[in-house]
Formats: sequence, structure tokens, C-alpha cells
Amino acid sequence: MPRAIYYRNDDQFGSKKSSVIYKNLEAALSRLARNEGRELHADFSFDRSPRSRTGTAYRSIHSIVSIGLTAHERLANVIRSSLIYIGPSETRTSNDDVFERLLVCAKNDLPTSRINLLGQRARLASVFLPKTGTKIHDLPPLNLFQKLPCSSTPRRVTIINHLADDQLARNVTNRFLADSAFFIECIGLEGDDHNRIRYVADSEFGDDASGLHIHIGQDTKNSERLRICDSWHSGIPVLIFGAEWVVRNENSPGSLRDEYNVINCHSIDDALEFANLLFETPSLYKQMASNGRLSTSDAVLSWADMAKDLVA
Amino acid sequence: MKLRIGWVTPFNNRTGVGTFSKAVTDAIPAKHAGGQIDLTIIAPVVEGLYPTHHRFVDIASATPDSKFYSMFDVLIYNIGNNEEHHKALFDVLQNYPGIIICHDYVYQHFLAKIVHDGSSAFADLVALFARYGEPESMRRIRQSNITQTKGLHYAIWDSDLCGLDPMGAPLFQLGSALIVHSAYAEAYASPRFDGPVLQLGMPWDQRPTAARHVEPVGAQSRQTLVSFGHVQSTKCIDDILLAIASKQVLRDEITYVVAGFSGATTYVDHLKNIVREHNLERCVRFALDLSQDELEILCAQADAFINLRFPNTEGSSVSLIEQLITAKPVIVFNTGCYAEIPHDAVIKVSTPRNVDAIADAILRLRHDRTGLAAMGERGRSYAMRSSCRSYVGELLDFIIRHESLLRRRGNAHATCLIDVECLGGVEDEADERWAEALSTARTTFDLLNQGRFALDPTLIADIGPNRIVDYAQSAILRQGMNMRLTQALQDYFRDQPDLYRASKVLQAAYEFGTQQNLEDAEYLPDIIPHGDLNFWRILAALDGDMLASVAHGSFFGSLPAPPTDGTALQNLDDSFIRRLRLSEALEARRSEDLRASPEDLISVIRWLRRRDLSDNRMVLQPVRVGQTISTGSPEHQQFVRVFGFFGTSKEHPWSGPEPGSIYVVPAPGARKVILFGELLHSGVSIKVSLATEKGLDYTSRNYCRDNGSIEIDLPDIPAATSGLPLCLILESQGCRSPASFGNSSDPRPLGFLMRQVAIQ
Repeated sequence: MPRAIYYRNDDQFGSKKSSVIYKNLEAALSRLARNEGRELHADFSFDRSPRSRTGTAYRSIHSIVSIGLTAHERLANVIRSSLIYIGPSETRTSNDDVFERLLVCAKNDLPTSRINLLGQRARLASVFLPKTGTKIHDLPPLNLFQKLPCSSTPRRVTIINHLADDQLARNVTNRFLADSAFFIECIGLEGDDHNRIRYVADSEFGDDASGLHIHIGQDTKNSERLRICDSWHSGIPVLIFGAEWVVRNENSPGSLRDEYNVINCHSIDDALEFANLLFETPSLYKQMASNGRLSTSDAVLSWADMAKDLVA
Repeated sequence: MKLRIGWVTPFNNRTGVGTFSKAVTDAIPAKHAGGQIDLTIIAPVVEGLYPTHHRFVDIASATPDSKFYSMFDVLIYNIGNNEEHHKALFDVLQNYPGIIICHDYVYQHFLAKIVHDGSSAFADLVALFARYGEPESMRRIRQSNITQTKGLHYAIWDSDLCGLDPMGAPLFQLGSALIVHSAYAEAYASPRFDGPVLQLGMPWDQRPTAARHVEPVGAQSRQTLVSFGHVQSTKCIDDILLAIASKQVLRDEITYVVAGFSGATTYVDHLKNIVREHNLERCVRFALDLSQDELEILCAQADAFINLRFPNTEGSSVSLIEQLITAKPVIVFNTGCYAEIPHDAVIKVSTPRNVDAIADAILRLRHDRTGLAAMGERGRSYAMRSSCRSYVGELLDFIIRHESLLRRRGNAHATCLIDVECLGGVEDEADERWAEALSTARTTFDLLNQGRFALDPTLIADIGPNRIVDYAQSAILRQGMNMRLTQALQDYFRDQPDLYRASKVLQAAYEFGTQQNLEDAEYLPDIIPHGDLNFWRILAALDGDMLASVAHGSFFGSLPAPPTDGTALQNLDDSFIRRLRLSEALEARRSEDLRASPEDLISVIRWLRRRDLSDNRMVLQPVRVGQTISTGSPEHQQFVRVFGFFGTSKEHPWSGPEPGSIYVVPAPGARKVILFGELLHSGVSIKVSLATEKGLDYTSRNYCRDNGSIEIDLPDIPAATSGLPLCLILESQGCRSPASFGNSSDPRPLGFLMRQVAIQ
């Protein structure tokens, strides 16, 4: 009899990034269970004993997985593997609630537990955890199975700033406000919202709101590349500023190719022109979107891999 | 009623525990106190396996956590300090509690081998000492420097100190009850184990043909003294040889035979060297690797035995029992399990490891033959207190007496499958403390096997502020003998609310400093306590490169820039100059890259510029006002210390493009320092700055005289003439080499030639 999969997911509300991530993993787990013909049970809890008895580690012949920090804390006395997403935050580790909770967990964890940390600050969190039992992952792309937007009518764009210096992003935003009619969502920038512009934090980012993503950055930091993968997976065309890391002909999966899966803008005028062109030419829009999806076909596997690793 | 006993043991003739198990299990009856006994011997199948009439199971045929072991009513484990023979049964013990027969007193070798097989490079051993040792154990293991692979370090388990830290507790705490073989072993085990402990004498009749022929004492012209067992340093045979060498009468009247297995060949060679050096060939004989028969003949011929042991690593001595039953005198130290034998049944050496005391004890063999014979008889009757049969009887009574406890505790399996079993573990409140210790011990070994015990958060949180310094120094920073580091760590940990977090920060900084992984630099600024100068003191005590890379990493999230020219690091042997260079490098970086508060950076830079006296461990004599010291002269080293020059100890030290430092102590009342010398050519310019305890002093003025000499006015502050070394930093610009002038072929860029230092 194949082993069943029991899991507990943190209660999720709204379209917060963490909840998107955990839903993705849930979906990957259910696909895995279906493929392998295993039973899948949600909301696992181990309440048969008021407290675990000292000296014994509780194990199951089934796979027990916790998703999220709260679930991880609740299942501390059962051998299991966990996946915890560490969201971006500006606070230092010394006054960050997530790190406090992780530290407490580290002191109560069973020596055999495996923790998979996910997200930009996973590496930082892993400093405080015993090394061998902890794995760090980059974030796989989100919104894998969302349908491609059929039409480009919403006329919304998202400007995502990856640079520490926000000057370029501000200039782009201001020109878009002045010379176009798009609704704009900004990430990595701060300012006051008004009727045509919203400034949102990275964790509040819901990528179904917009029809075009403009990434502003210069280096090839992993987190930045992954955010572009996010866009691709959401089926949203990508404009970028920062010519150095775009290649024309390289065909390796995931590489940024100008006028294929991204459009590299050399000036704000370029960007405005491309944006209008994309929204006005549905066939071009669809082509860009599906080329983007194609470029990350290898990354689609990573949620499945992660699920496989968790239930192993 | 039937009692199913699983006897888990080595069962071969290569180990004393195997021989013991063979003899004792042979004596186990089929029935005891009205109940049936069903015995299964579970042992590794290796060469030299004993035959048995009991059921025998190869330990390799079931996994250590196999349900097979839960079929027994009681499991009895024979545990000794030897990984090779005991690891397989220990793995079972980790999963299923049972009675432990403790054959040894010290278990450090066993644990050290497990640690060695892990990947912690002995940090886990420090952790074991932290959890199961005394506070002083932490100091001992730190000072052994075992976590450092370079430099001075030693294996504490192979040293005389190993008897001080038996480290049996984690093993015992996996058991449900203990059997020990001496009061000595019981005194260690009882306070560390919450449960029944039974002390039984070692059975004398383990070997069927042990030497039992009693020969009259002193039949031969020379008395024959024999030592047997493994020839190793704990037997103190070198002391015995020196004792014999020290007394002419012993050389003339006795023959000393060293018998036994010659496992430790270096020690045997050492002994043979002593024999050669002291001309003991006539009175000392080696009879190594004898067969059992030969050994028995030797024992029969012996007039007396010497059985010394230091440190005492065994719970009891089978060889002593075998010697005592020959009714011949035995010489022992009055320590460990040997101290328990009545004083009139053996000859006790008054002070252990004392050559004169050993000689005196041997001399006692020459007199009072009848007294010695009586002593031998008393020794024999002491040894015969316990036989295999009586041993088994007491053991079975013990099991019956504690049967309910043993069954209850036996149910505390290490793992419980929640889907198919009722909940395992210990329910009874009476066992709560025992179960706590069991749980801790199991976690300990789980982590040890994974090689990550040293960074167990619970361990570090429990360690307490007193021992955390020893712990961090040896397990994390791996410099057990660095005294400056100890001091810096004490300051750092003094007010830390969370020891675990503080140690993890140290570990992250240390790993970054040693591996310089650029990816890690990303998160360093987020975790480093930038404003805590004690933290920086720790890094400074580790080494200069560590300080530099962590400072760059934690303030700017990147590594230091590589030196731009080839000469940059060649003369940086002065740590103070290195600190100044670091402060300049930190200051020169773009402020927008800064990822900490600017105030913290300023305070660290200020600290870097303050001269840390301990950095320059130098003792200099004060230079009187009016005194002139010529460089390269005999008294030069007493008064002046020069770094960063070409030819610092020679007559003509030249400064180069690198900063050089000159240390000198002006006597009170001094107003200026004059450096007499000359410049290589007119284009050279020299800048001198003065560093005191307070930091770099910019108020002092200096100027070059026409002839190239330099005068430095001492500022009017007490620090300048406080009797502590002043540091003058000489920076030479525009240096060119003599070769570039065509004067010579010397290609070194030179600046200022210093001939004399004067105080005025």
C-alpha cells in the first residue's frame, strides 16, 4: 500500500504572497498524490495524546508535511518535513518576529526533522538554524496554472524596482503617469497612492492585477531573475531596463532574450512605445506571453520537485 | 512464568567482555525462583566467536530499531569503552532501553570514535563535555585544543586527564537499570542515573583454566614479578622499569616480566629504550603475545604480580582477580577500583605514578615471606567473593525485584509509529526524570551520528553563561589556547540575553571570515552586532584577516578590495599597522554602500585606531631624556622596536612605501623624539603620526630637518609619557629605488634611512 500524505497548511487569507506560495505547494502535493496513487489528507493534527511522552519520537509510516511556520510549530512532536516561506521584510533579525519563532522552533525540533526554507531571506534565517537539517530554496515561479489573460483590456502595468537607488524607477513612473493612461502598480518604490497609482509591498503583490510587468534592475541577482520568471508564469509580457544581462541569441532555458521573452528598453520613450504597442496588438501580446511561459518550462518542475522532497 | 532475556554483547575471545559474557551466560540456569529463563544471546558474528548452548542471534540480522527487540521481557547490554566491539549493540540500546552492565569506567574513547566519524572535527566532543561533564571539564577540553588541527593539541582521551571525565552518563542514561563492578564505578554512575544500580563483584572463574596452581612464594633464587594484559601506557610499566633501575638491590634480586598483547608498539619501543638506557637487560624480560597456556605457566612461575593503572579507565579489573586467585602478592596503586581491595590483601603503592613509592612497594616483597603468603591468601579469598554462578543468581534476583520497572521502562522505545501502535513512551510519573534524561541522551546521539550536536540550540541554551566562553572558543572558533580570545569572549557573552543567538552570530562571522563566501556577505550586515566592540575584539583576537573580511562584509555586504599593487602586504607584520590600514579602507568606501548605522562604523574605526596594547606584546625599557639609541646596536632591541622597514634589525633600516612603525617608551619629562637619519633623495616626503592609547594623535607636529632627520614634538598629554610604548607611524611618499638612480642594483623603493632614535 502506498503511503498516504498528511499535511497541514497554515490558514491563509487573501492574496498575500505567502498564501499564493502555499497554495502552489498544496497543488503540487495533490498532483503528486494523484500521479503516485496516494491518499492525500489535509488539516492533519496529532491530538491523540495531550502531550507527547518523553523519550519517544513519534513517527508515521505515512508522510507528514507541514506547510508554513504555524503548522510547523503545531506538529513539533511528530517527525515531519516542513516548508516555510520567509517573506521579505525591512526589520533587522534582532526584532523580527519570524526569526524569534524560528529560534524557538529550532530549540524544540526533533533532530530528524527537515526544514525547507523558501524566499529571499531564507539564507539569512538559515544562519540561526542547525545547518544539516535545513535546506534553502529559491522561490519557484508563482501562478503556474493561471490562464493567460485573454485580452489586454485592463491597461494596467506594474513597475518592479530591483535597484537600491529608486531614481530610474521614479522617472519611469512619472513619465508613464504623464504620457499614458495606464493604471500603475509600483513595487520597491514608496509614495502616496492616488487614483492612477498604487504603491504596494512585495508581500502584497498579486500578479493578476496587471497586464504588463516592467522590471527595473541591472544585475543578475537570483531574486530578480526569479521575479521575472514569476511574470512569465503569470503569462504577462515583460519589459526590462538594464541592457547588460539580456542576450540576443543564447538559447538556454530561462535566459533573457530581447524581443523574444523580454523587451529590453534603452529609454523611457522606448518603454512607452512598446507598452502601447503590446496593448494595441493582441497577437504580439500573446506571442510575448507564450514565449515567456515557454522559457520557464524547466522551472515548472520545481514545485513538483519540492513536493517530492517534502514527502520523501 | 517465563522470562525472556536478550543478552546483547560482544561474544568473542578478542575482548574481555566477550569472555565475561561467555562465562556468565553459561552459568545462567534454565529455571530461577520458580520461573523459566529463556535466554537469547545477540552478538556480532566475528572471528573468535565462542560456542554457546543458548539461542544465538547475529546482531546484523535485524536493524537496530527492529521490532524483534521488543519481543524480549528484558534486554541486557554489555557496554565497554571500545567502539569496534560495542557500536552495533549500542545502536540497539539507543532504541530499546534495558539493563546495562557497565564494564568500563571511562567511555571517552568510545565517544571520541563516534565524534571522529562525524563531520564536526571534534566540535561535537566539546559539546558532549558541555552537556555531560563538570565545569572544569570544559576548561580541560578547551585547553586540549582538539578542535584545531594545526598547532599544539592533544587527544584528551589518551591523556592522563581522561580519568577525570569518565563521560559514561549519556550511555547509562539510555538504560533502564545499571550493573556496575566496583564501588568506584557506582560512585560515578549512581548520581547520574535515575534508577536502580546494582554493584556486583567481577566473577573470578571466567576462564576455565585460569592459573590456580599455588606455588610456594620465593622458590627461585631471583624473585619473578609479572605484569600482564595489553601493554599500554595506562599500565605505568615505564614507571616500574624506572623504579627497578633506581635501586641496585632490585636490579640484583628480581626478574621483571612484561607479558601481554603488544598493541601499542610505540609504547613497547619506549619501554625497550628504557631497558637499554638503564642497562636493565639482566632483570627485565619481555614475553609478548603469549598463548593462554604459556601465560598460565608464566603465572605459575611468578612470585608476585604488579598491576598498576593510571588513569583508571576500567570499572573493575579481571586481570587483578586472576592474579589474586593465585594467592601471590599483587602490587597496585591505591586508586580507582584497586582502592577497594582491603589494605592487607594487596601491596598498595602509597602515591600513584611515583617511582620511589613503586620501588618501596617492590622492596616489601623481600621481607616477611610468611606475612606475604597470608596476604596472598586474603587476596585470594577477596577475589573469590563472586563466581559466575553467584553473579548470575544476584543478577536474576535483581531483575525479578525490579521486573515491573524494567518492563515499564523497556516500553520506552525510541520511536513510535502513530498509525499502528498505541502511544509508546513513559507514562509513569515515577519515571519522569529518567525519561527526561533518556530523551536528552537519545537526542544527543541522534545529533552526534549526524555530526551536528555542537550546534544544537538546546545544548547552547542550557550551557549557561559561565561555560559558554570555553564552549564558543573551542567548538565554534577553534582556538582553545588563545588567551586573548578567552578574555574577549568573556566580555562579549557577559550581558547576552540569548546565548544561542550570540553564538550563532559568532559562528556566521567565523565561517564568513574563513571561507569568504561572497553570497554569505549578503546577509552578514543583518546579523552582526555592529556597535558591540567586544564582538570586534573577538575577531581581532582570532587574526587580522578575519577582522578585515568580517568588517568589510558586515558593514558593506562585500569583501575587502584586493591589494592593488604587489608590495601591499609584504611588510604588514605589525598588527597595529594592519588595523590602521583596515580603518582607512573602511573609511574610503562609499557611504551609500554602508549597510549599518554610520555611528557604529565611526566607533569601530575609532577603536581600530586605538592601539590595543595586547596586540604588541613587547616589553621595552624607557629611554632617558638625552639618550640616543643607534639602530642595529646591541641595546637597540631593548629600547626600540621597528616594524614595516626593510632590514628592521640591521644597522640601516629603510622605510618603504608601506607605513612603518617605531615603538619607543620615552621617560617622563620627554618633550620630543628625534629620528636621526637621511632621505634617499630630495623627492621623498615623510609623514609621521603618533599613536597613543587614545588613538591616533593629530596634534603632535613633526618636521624634517635639512639633513633629513625628523623631529616629533610630543603632545602635552599624559598618554604620551605614561611609560607605555608610543607608536610612531612613518609614511614615506615618493620612494624610488637606488636602481632607478643607477646607484646600485637594489630594486626596492626606499624612503628614509633611520640611524638613531633620540629622546629630548
